[in-house]
Amino acid sequence: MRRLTTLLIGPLAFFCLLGTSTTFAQVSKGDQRLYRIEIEDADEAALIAQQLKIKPVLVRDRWFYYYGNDELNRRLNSLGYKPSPQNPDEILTRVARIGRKGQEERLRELGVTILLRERTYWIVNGTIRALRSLRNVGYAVADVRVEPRPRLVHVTVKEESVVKTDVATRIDIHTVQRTREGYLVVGGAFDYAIDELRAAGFKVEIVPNP
Amino acid sequence: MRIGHLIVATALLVLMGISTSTLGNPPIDFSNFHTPTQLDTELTNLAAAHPTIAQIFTIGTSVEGRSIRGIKISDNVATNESSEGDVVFVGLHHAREWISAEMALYLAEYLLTNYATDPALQACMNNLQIWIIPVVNPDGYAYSASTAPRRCWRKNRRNNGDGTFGVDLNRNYSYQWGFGSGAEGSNITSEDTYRGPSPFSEPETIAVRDFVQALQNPTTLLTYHSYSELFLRPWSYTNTDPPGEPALRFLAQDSIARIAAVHGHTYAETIWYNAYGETTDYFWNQARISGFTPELRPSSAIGNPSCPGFDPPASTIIPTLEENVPAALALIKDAGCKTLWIKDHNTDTGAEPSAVWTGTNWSHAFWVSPDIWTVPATLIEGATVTLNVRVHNDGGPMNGSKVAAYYTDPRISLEFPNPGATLIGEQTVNLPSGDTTVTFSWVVPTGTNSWGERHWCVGAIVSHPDDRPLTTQIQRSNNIGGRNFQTTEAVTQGLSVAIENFLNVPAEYIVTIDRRSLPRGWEVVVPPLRHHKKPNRKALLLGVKGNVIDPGETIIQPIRLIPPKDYKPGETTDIHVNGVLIPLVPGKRAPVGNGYTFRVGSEQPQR
Repeated sequence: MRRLTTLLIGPLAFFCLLGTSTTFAQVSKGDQRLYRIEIEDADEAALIAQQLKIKPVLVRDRWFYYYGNDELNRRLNSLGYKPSPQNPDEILTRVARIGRKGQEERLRELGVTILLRERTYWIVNGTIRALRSLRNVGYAVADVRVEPRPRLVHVTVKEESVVKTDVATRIDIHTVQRTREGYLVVGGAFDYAIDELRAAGFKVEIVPNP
Repeated sequence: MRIGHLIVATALLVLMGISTSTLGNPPIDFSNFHTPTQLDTELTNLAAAHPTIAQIFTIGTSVEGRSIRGIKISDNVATNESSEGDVVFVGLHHAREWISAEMALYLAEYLLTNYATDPALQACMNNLQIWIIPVVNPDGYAYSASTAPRRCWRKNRRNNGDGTFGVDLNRNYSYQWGFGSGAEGSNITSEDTYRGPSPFSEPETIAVRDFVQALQNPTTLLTYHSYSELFLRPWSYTNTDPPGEPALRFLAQDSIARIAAVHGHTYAETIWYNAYGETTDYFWNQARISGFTPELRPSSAIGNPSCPGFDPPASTIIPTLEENVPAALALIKDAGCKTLWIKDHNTDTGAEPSAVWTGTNWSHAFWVSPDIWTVPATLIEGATVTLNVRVHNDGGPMNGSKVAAYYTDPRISLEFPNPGATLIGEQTVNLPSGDTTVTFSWVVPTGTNSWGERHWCVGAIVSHPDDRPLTTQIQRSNNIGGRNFQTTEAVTQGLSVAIENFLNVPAEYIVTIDRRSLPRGWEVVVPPLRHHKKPNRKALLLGVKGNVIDPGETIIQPIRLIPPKDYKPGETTDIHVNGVLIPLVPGKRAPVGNGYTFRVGSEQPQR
């Protein structure tokens, strides 16, 4: 289990996971495979981890993803859960660096999000399957060399209520200051969030990094 | 520079014939931010300089293996004094918020250096165990301090395995975890507010959870953050008020006033967004531990342009620390000093808690306050009676105190204040030393409570800016007292209790009869209820075999009375019914609840 986890989460595993020879069986080493069960809420997820000693790979929406085998699944069945096998390639995500070329729309069609646009490359995020698709259409997909960091941004809004409904749902807010124009939101944001805010009509200024 | 100062100061003291050993550590220099190593060393030195009242403790280990250390401050510091209250201060959930760690260290130094010279503070501290953990996120702190581009790092240092690192620890607690996006808590690993792959996925949050829940009587928790100058209270995840909102609001607003009184900075009460999986929401929901989040100075994005606001000018540090001490001291006094109090039962001395759940019973029936009574004692529906509330004042005159009285449907998990309670009255009174009885006019409710019985619970709360209730639970706050009343004198055959779950999470409920209160020959039966509900998976996971009540649900539990064969009409007796809710949640499951006392044996009086 530990070897498997290392394989899955270690950054060095990246190329292996994207390799064309990678199969579902390879990422589901031994008798452990990725499954998911439906849960009610976060408390239930934490209780499963605490009481059954199952380390969740991911909890999202009402799904608890874990690596397990028949024995574990029988136990979960007895508690009323219905484990269903999952393909990790469609669940697990990676951040990658790709050369800047082509249309951004094409990336979105393939299910990839652009975190950062740099002069010669993009930093993107997507499932393993989506990143493999990128490679298949000719992109050079590589590990990120530096951890992607959000940009410092200033977002101008006219009404304070908009901060909660439109801005806070997209960026990490550091503070909000009153200005003559309304309110200035200071925060950290990746490019996809900046795009969304601008598309929604907000003035977003990227503060140059000193 | 600092070593130089120390040598000069020591030399001067030696020349003056004063031994430096009697003075303890030199004051900590807060004119600049400490490095992580310096801060840790200062903490160690502080404990070493006050060995009789300070001790270093560790609550766990970070992702990268660093110890999460704190300083315990208490009179018998080496002893775990389970009869004392516990107050917790934490800093630096977020790596870049260095001022929050400085605040915690400053508070520790303040308490230790003033302990000997401030008798009032000492008296409060002697009733408490104060736990100060300056750095919850040591990995993030070290990373943030390592090189300039990393200064604005917020999260811990978990390897997310996808090319990104870090989880936002203040979005990783389990209550309401998993919702929202952006500042509210994100599922995108690269974002600064990434909530983690699952609730309590991080060793740092598990350490805080398990540490606080292992305390005997935690009453309040302050978690320092920065910046923006705010003083926040639950809920963080929603704009709706939590149970006990008036009490939390009072504490927060009073704290804000205390902060403003120092340097004129008025912290705001609210923030511009919701946050899911946040620390104080978790502890208020889990165990009604009042929690507050002071967002310290500055108010705007000033200072280091690569991390404005979080790295303010050094001149900001000391005023920030100074202005936040009075609010912390007030909470310590609330928790540790028994000044104003109301008895929960005849043997109550004002110590908190006045009763504990033994697993089958409450150790004392704490809903029978002898300090709350009516004249006349027999309550006739619709009659106007005098409700008396006796308040004990163990200190000097407490002018401007407030005494409020409510009545409500009694129910298991009752707390004061609660949204369903009806205010009988509130008075502002000057309370001299000793006992004072405050009277209210009360029109006895007509008819039945919401489940058909003539049974009510009266709650009284006494508060003063220098002595405030820190929780809504009767047995855990000596500012709150409660008493059951029946508008019939007694019942002869059957009675019932209502169990209402307003904990927001499903809970196991237990109703028992305290057989210690039962006269010889009487029998009482709590028949099991028929359940039509599906088995609750959380209950199965926890191995709970008892009854489960869903959030918002009310269950009426009938109780059958069987008098002795030689029972004579007119004889009466009091029986105590114990009730408790034990939430189905991860971590330690803290019981909440109360009970009822019924006078049984004769018929309802006629008007």
